[in-house]
Amino acid sequence: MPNLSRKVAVRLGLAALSLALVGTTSVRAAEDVSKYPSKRINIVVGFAAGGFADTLARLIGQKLQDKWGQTVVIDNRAGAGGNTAAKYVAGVEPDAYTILATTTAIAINETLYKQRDYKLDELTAVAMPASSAESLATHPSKPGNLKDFLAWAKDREITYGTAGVGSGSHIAAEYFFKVLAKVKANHVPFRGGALSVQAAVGNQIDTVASSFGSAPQIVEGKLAGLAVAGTERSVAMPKVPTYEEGGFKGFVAESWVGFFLPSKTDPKIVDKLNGAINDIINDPQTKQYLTGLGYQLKTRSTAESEKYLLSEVDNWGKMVKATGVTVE
Amino acid sequence: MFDFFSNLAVGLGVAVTPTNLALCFVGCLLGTLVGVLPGVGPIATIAILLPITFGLEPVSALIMLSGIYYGAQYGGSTSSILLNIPGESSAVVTALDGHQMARKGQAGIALGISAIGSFFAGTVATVVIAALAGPLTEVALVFGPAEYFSLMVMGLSFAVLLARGSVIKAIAMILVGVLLSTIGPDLTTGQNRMTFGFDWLADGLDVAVIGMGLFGIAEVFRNLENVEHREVVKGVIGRLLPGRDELKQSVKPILRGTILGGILGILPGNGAVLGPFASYTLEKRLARDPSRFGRGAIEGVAGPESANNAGAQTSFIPLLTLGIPPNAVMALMVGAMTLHGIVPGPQVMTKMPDLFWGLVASMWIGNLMLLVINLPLIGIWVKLLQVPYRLMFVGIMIFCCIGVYSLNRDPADVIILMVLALAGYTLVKFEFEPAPLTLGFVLGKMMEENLRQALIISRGSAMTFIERPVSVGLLVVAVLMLCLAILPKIRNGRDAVFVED
Amino acid sequence: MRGFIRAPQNFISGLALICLAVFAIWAVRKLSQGTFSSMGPAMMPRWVAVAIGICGVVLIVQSFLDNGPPLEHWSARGPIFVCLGMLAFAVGMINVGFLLAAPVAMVICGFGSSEVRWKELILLALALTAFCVALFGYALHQPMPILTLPGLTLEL
Repeated sequence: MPNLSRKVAVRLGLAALSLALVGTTSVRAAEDVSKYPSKRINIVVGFAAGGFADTLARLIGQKLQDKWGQTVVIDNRAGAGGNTAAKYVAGVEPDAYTILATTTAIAINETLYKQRDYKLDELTAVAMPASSAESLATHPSKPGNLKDFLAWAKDREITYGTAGVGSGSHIAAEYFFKVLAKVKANHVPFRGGALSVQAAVGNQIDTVASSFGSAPQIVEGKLAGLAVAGTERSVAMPKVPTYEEGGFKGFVAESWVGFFLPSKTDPKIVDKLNGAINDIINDPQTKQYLTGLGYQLKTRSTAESEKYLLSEVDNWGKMVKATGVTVE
Repeated sequence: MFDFFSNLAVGLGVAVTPTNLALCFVGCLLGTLVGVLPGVGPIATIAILLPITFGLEPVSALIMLSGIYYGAQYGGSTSSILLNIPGESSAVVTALDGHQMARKGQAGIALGISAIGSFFAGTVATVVIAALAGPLTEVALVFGPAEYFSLMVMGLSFAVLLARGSVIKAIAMILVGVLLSTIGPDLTTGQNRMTFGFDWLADGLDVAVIGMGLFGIAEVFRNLENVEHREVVKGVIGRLLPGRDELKQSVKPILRGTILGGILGILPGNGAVLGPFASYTLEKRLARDPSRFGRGAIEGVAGPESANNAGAQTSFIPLLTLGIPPNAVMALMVGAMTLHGIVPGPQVMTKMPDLFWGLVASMWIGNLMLLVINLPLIGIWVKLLQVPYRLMFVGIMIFCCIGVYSLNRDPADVIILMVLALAGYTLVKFEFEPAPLTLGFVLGKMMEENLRQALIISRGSAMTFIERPVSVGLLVVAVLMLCLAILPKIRNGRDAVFVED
Repeated sequence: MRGFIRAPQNFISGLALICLAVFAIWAVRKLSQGTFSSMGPAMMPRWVAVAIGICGVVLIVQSFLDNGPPLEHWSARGPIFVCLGMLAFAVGMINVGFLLAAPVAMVICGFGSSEVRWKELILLALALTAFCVALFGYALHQPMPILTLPGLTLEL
């Protein structure tokens, strides 16, 4: 009996080894664009499974898999506000089989982090298909429009909750309270946006800043939306006015999810991936479904994506500097 | 009341279609099999298996996903009972007595009672969700940072009772756990603490690494010491299923565990992790002979396993009624929902009753499936124990290494695992217990964060913990617990001295 | 007959706790403690470390007063080989990939048992390696380097 099982084990082992050898040998050479992709693609997500970036990466990944017939694997490498994943992708073989999916954090961190182990120009922006404006919401028992809320807040130290220190919500809210509205507000960081929304629904904090995490609660009336920092109102919560309508002209802060490749990647492959993602976003069914979830969608060429990235680095950098927040 | 039944009927109607039953079964089975791998807990399992739910109807996909979730949870208990390799905090509690039972040749009974306890707890929790989800949500909202802080303090006071040996050593272990939890970036300033510039410490330690190192590999070291020590495991396999006596012994622990775990599960911010610890402490406290605990007491498996499953179930409440995921697993479920085009939130219940009640009903069916799948599997798992130990420990080592590696795809985590394993071995040699350390680690992080949030909100006034009624209540319980733990020990300690003289 | 120290195990435990406490306090020396209304990063670790130190002192004092267990017997073979195995795995994953790292790690680790048998161990190592590649690589799609030798690279 032991002999038999040993034989079986050896055979199985050899079979699996040979399968591994045959199935996976790859040639590291500049690949023909038309042949891309010819093997498994990894999408490295800078944040934990279940978040904003992860969900979108999984959706796009699935559609790419359907489209190209190659397995697409999601690899969550959370850490250091997305820097861990960015550093990793900046250092991989530029063959476009490892794609970075991250958020606005990559633009914010340029100014926020004193130290990073990669340079932004080691990465090239492929697409930033989905975004959502930063918003402010409060418990329904408190003044429910921006003007009244600020008047109410004037003579007290209010608290605002966010998904964490250095998050887009933190920077945008800090900038708004400190620089624009000049109201004394203390930051209460939470571990993740969900818990900050929870605290606001439970009236534990005065207001919650989030990108689109609070939209379902606002729609249901569990929270009162004060303002969104978009150029126009959000599809997900059309009743909430923009900051511009509330008298704060030009205050725009949007969180997005973007896809990146090492900058040495063949531009033709970058374009191919860009085109594929744009096609996915333009598909009417996907479009309807993503807007239904509260995302604003936009397709850009690779050049436009790169330009948008730089303008975002600028916009968030300005806010980070004005608020004086830094992270080591 | 009529609503309650008609709703459940709607739900069962959705869940009991052949396709959905099959998917629920497949989900539970896959979840169990993948969850058994050390280090691959529910989160990793769902993330890994998520793609296979694409292309299904949303309801079917969610039913399958929750099956995976329960399956993974149960699979984790299986590997901690059989091999003492807990990959998450709830499994740590199960390992305490479950693995001791396995050593005594009662692995089948331990696995069986944990399946039965989980099934019962799941059934009760499902009914609770169906009947009371709305009002219970309000309870969860009362909990702000101050209440959470007090809850964590209470949880840590449980840890003292959790320990078998010296109280002072247990306290020291809890504190070391809390200290370890502070490694990594600070929540409010983002500054790195005690990372010494190492990248691989920059996000702190993972509870899976701690569990596998302090328990799993450290246990391997101990077993390698002498041959006789571990022959026990190989000895009699014994009955595969719990008998009448064991069931009788477990009824009350299961009931109490269900209640405790169910209540704690409703609290967002991962209150559910406290459930198994609390239940274990309670059972030990109530036992006529507490010294049996840690040596293979069946109550120490039945109670915590029920608490764990009840909590796993009721933690769906904040998600379903508020649209707020209370922990990482639920966050992933939200992600999955959105992938299937469902905006999670309060509106799900009213706008998509089929989906909501279908999911609730499938929770119960999922638990039933687990029972159906796992009782026959027990025989196979127990056979695993017959592999000669000289080969088994090699397998444990490699699976732990892969499990830890796959957390972050970072070989440095394997080194951390090694260091923790050596630390775990040393702790045993000095009669320190790793369980309080794990609890300190799990609760320490939440305790600090909630303390800081509470103090920011109260503008620096520590009175907030005493002014808020729920908070002060929890603190009083904590103090009582500590007194209960320390007083008899002091008396016993003296007795022991007299005996020796 | 133990002389001054009546519980050597507790005495050493206490010393170790004090060392740990001192080390932690040293490690957070540069961080600010903050105030109550805005706690700094060092407040929690520093005070927890102080408490650990106090526990250590209590244990030492106890070790002079009460009789306690002696030091236990340690065994070196198991820990040494298993740790070497884990090290080999970690280093191997960086340099050569799973296909070489895993079997080497398992063979080294196997010597941790005094009952080790050569052939059996090597067969197990090969079989488990193949099994893990199939399971984690193919079935579960876990990204990991399979083989990364210069000139010969395998990926999934």
